[in-house]
Amino acid sequence: MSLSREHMMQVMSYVDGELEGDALDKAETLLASNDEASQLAIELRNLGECVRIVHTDRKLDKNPDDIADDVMNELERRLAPVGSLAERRRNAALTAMITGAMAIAAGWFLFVRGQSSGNLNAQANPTPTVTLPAMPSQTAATPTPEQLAAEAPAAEGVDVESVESPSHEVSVFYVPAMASASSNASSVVVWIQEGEAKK
Amino acid sequence: MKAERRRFLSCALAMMSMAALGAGFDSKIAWAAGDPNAEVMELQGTQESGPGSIDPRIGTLPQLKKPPLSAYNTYKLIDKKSQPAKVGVPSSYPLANGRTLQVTLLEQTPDKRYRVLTTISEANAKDYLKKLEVIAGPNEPFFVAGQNVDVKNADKGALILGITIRP
Repeated sequence: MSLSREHMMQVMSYVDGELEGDALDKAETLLASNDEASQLAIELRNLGECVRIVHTDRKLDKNPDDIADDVMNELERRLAPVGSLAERRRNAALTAMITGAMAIAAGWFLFVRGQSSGNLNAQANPTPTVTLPAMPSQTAATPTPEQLAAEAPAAEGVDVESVESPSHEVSVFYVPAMASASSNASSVVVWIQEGEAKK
Repeated sequence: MKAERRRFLSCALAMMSMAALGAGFDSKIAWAAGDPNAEVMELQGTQESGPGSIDPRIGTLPQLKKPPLSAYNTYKLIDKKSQPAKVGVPSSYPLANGRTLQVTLLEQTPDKRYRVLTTISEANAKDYLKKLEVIAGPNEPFFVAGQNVDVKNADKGALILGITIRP
């Protein structure tokens, strides 16, 4: 090809439709007088036509700008924002404080539960039924606190801590496993014999 | 946004922890919200012919059908009284036999029961019951029996006291 660079640019500008006025007249004169220039124009037009056909056949669903926007949005969504160092330290301190509070609460809960579970164990194996006298008049001596503690029933019922009646005989009866709807715990009957003064 | 949610969740957890701690603390704090009542039932127990009966006003007290209270097959309600039980403040209940019952709430135990002091005194006589200290669960009655309705006449039946601390 012997076309000069200037003529080639002139032909390309003509094919692209960028020329007007004198430049357009000069380009048309060149194409009319120069076979190589006219041949180049034809080839460039064919090439442009080919690109348009291919572009039409492979038309994308989205504008490339929209695709780029979608990609950037997806990246922002997937990547967790990283806070500043001060914010991360603050969050770490808050997390440590909460963990500590929860640990204290759990410890307290286990402590209280441990206390009550001992009582529940006692309830699971309640004190055997006290052998009761046939008649209420059969009484025993005032039980000591140790005896009372030994006879103590389940924790959710009634426990006798101490009983004193200087002038009367006292008996303590545990009535286990009440069948009432509201409670199945043991109850206590303290029987203080009327009229039988202690010797 | 994510950091804000995390902060909100952390605050919620912290509040829950504090609430759990508060619930576990001394129950006296919660107890101060309202004093319980000390309810005293005076029952007359007699042995009647036949199966006997239990005054329906007494309510459900299965203890009456178990020894030693089953020594009587008939129970009638003489009186039923209820007074606010303040810690350390005795509540007096005059009894049908002329004696006086005093019920004092001493404290609430860690397992939510009540430590109760009971005395029965008689004018110009030694205390019938100088001291009875029990730990009773809420709404769980304990009984003081053996007295006569008429101190000088046992034929009028036995006086059974049912004492219940009701929150």
